[in-house]
Amino acid sequence: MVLEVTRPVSKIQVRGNKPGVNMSKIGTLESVWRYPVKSMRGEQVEEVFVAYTGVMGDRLYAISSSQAPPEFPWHTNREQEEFVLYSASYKNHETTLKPPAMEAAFKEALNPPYPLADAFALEIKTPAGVTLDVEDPAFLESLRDKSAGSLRLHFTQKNAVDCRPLSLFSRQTLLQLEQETGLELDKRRFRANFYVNWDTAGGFFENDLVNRSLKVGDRLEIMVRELDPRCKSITIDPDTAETQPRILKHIARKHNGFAGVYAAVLTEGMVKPGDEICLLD
Amino acid sequence: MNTKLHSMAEIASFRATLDGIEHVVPYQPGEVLLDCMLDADLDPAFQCQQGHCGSCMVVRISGEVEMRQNNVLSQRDLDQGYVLLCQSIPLSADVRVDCDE
Repeated sequence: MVLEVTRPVSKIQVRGNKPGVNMSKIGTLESVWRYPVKSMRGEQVEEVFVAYTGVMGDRLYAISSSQAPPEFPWHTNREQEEFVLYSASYKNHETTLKPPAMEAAFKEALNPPYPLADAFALEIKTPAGVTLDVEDPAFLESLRDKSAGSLRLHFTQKNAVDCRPLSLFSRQTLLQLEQETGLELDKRRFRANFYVNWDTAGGFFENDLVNRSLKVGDRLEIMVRELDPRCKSITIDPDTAETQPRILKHIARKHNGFAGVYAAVLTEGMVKPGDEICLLD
Repeated sequence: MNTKLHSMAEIASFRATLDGIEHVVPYQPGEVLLDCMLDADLDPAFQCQQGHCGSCMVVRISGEVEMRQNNVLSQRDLDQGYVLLCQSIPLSADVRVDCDE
């Protein structure tokens, strides 16, 4: 199986090497996103901690369905497209961006502890414009109208991601998909944590980074682990919840079903838009 | 049970529109539509082949099909006529699907 990559890593022009450090800048972090409730609308954050479990506050809540298989128990926008029209926001936004003792923990080479679950209290805004506490039974009731199964709210600080703690998607991949399909594509369809801009590489360059380590910003280190297999979620317009299967079919036929990559976190750290992305190896 | 439905042995083919061309695809009893299309050297979109991803969702234009399982299509999708090629077994001899929609 051959994946299309515009420019292999070995041909990327290396610049910005620091003495004694084998590191080359390959791109910039454009925006950082988290999704407080799995499958619902995401929020762009200005600066946030990235833990071994992923972006702080990402997918801490999820809805499970009695009709879903046990290995993937989630009720998602695939079964109920309108899910993407619900938005969620933490009541104490600032406390969900950075562990309270982060600097002191880093100084002692410790893993900074997260705040208690109360710090992640959440409120939901429904498509009808009603604001509800996530624990309010009326929230699940609003979803049950469209679900045959029994729904439950889950909270976890482990991040209810599908495969890996972080997902990454490039501006170049988005542009290539737009050119190939003739569709205007909102990047939010791809529900990544990191949207990045490669310095010189083209679309799907991130595919060539599997098993490579990257440094993002001053401290965060990640390893790209696998390609991101796409599903119906990307067919859903994030503003209207209308579906456009053509984009998914195109990725299946022309890109083996993959767009974007998953990564694991090697060293925790803060990130913000504008951070440099460097190859570590 | 719908008595109008054919036994699979009576179903010789189905029709599938792909890239604007309608193909008459030979049907092998017991196979799902996707496998028949691949056997006929056609190139429809597909990925997981387990009814999870939705890459092979197509619009059923006519005929009856039964999906072995569906873990991705919503009730809205089903109401709009979408079925999964990788899970669909034809139940009538007049099945037509549109892979371009």
